[in-house]
Amino acid sequence: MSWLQIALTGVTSLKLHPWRAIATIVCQAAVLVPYIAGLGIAAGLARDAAVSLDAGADLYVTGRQFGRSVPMPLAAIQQIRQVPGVTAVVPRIVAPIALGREHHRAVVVGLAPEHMPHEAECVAGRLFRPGDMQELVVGSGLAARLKLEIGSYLPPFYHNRAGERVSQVVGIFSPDAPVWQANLVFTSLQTAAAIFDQPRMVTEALVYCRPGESERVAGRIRQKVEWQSADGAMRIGASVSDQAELGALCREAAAHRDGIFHLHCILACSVGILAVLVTSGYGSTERTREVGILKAIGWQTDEIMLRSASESMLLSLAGAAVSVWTAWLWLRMFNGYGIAGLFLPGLQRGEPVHVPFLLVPVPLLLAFLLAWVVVTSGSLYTTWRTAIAPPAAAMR
Amino acid sequence: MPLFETRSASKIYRRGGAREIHALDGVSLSIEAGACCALAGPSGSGKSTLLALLGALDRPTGGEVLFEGKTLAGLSDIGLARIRRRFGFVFQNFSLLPRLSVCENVSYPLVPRGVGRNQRRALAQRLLEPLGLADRLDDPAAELSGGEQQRVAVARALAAEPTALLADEPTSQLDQASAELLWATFDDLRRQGMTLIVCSHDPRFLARASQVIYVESGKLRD
Repeated sequence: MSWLQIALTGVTSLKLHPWRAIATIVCQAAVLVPYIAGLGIAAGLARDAAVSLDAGADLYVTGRQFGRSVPMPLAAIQQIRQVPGVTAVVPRIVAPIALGREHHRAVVVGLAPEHMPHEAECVAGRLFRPGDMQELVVGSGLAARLKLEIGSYLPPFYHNRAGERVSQVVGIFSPDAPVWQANLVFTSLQTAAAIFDQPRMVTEALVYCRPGESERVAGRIRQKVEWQSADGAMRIGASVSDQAELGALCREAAAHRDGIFHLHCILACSVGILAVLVTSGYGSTERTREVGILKAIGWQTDEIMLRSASESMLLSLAGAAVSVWTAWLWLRMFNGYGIAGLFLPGLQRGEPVHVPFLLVPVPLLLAFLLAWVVVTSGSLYTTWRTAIAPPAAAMR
Repeated sequence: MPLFETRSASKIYRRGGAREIHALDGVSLSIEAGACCALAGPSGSGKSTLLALLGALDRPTGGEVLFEGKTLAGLSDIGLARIRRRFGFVFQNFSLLPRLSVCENVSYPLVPRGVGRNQRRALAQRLLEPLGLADRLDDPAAELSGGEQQRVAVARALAAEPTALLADEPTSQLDQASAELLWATFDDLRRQGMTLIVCSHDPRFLARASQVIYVESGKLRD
């Protein structure tokens, strides 16, 4: 078992060059920590999206005109309710809005209070009342940015044909809700319709079906549900998306975002290899002499390479462990400050929003592999070059 | 059959462009097993280069070096390493691994041979005992004095039970007392029948040597 004895000397090899080991681990961490943190956030977002989709409706129906989504009248909701296999239909209004002098981006969601998502339970205040009451429940992120509290007014919230309207914040919902709910403004269907001055219109309908019937229901809605445009000149049909289609959309968006992130990390990795090559240069004279001494006392080149590989492996393990721990700390304690914004545009510093993250085994193994590639490519070649030289030359 | 032999061995170092330094020039010699051989001569005469060639630490530019009647010329890197395992080396500047303990330094030649950690430690203790360093087993080598470090180097050279001990100016950095202690150790080894080849100016060793080879300007002098 001489190979095991040789491999174990990799530990003593670290002891011989402690500063080089520290510099190498720091270089690895500089490359790997953002990578692990980024992959952790991406995995966390994917998990949240999957959970939201699972908990959501079977079908999402909107109007379709010239290939774009358009609002649908409440009358169309009645048509959908009559489709066989449909158990429930929840009309809702989802539309972007700019708030405050700095035009903070928010999304207004109008729906009946009993259909509020359970993740968005109020931490303060109460739910809005049904009807045109101008009552709002805002996400904690938005409340922090606009300094809104229970009872705050949003003056003037909007202008429309009915004149200026002021709305009141009656609740602020949980920061534990999925991160994209942090910038939402929940209100009643009627208030939302008034905000956008679209009475008796909704942007979409959430359709719940009997088990196993969603595909058939989707087909019937596409065939049967239609309505006339406001001027009566055009027929508008319904567009139906099921969970699988929305899931595919989520994955496509995530793959695009992750791809850009991977590209950045490959560039960082290249820089990391160069940095490790530089740190390998620290004490290179001493290391060259050390290899010469080992050869003089009877070590073979392959044994020296095994010792160096073992040292690289240990450095990789140490670097990967430090990187994973630092990334976890960054995400857990500092909420992914500085990197979360890459995945969640609009997320600002100090928002009381938990950035979702999930450190899964595959990226962690990938991180270790990357660390090993970085360290090995930085040190193994230089060791081999020295080891094949005559010992007298290496020791000179 | 001599243990070591060189036939017209030469070594040329190339430094910067076409500049050549003839460190050894057509040296032929033989050293019998059990000899106590001194390589003497002024500084820069080529003694250390000759010792490196005999010890398979370097390859000659011309001629050949033989060990136990077999030429080292055609040997691969692994073959040369196996030959080196039969020698113990003591260098002028000790050549220890300073951050490692005395025990680790002494036992390092045994690692590739698969000797277990406990056995290595026991052997290191046994070798260091007569050299007066058995109580310094766990100290880092860098914390020892020059004389102590050279004794550790001797213990390391003996760890693998070599056929021959090759030493390059082993006392040049030692005080009188340490040098005397080292020569006494070499006397013991000589009595045990080990072949010693030592580069040295020290008249105390030249007086002990059974064979003295004078090297001057890369050539042997009668």
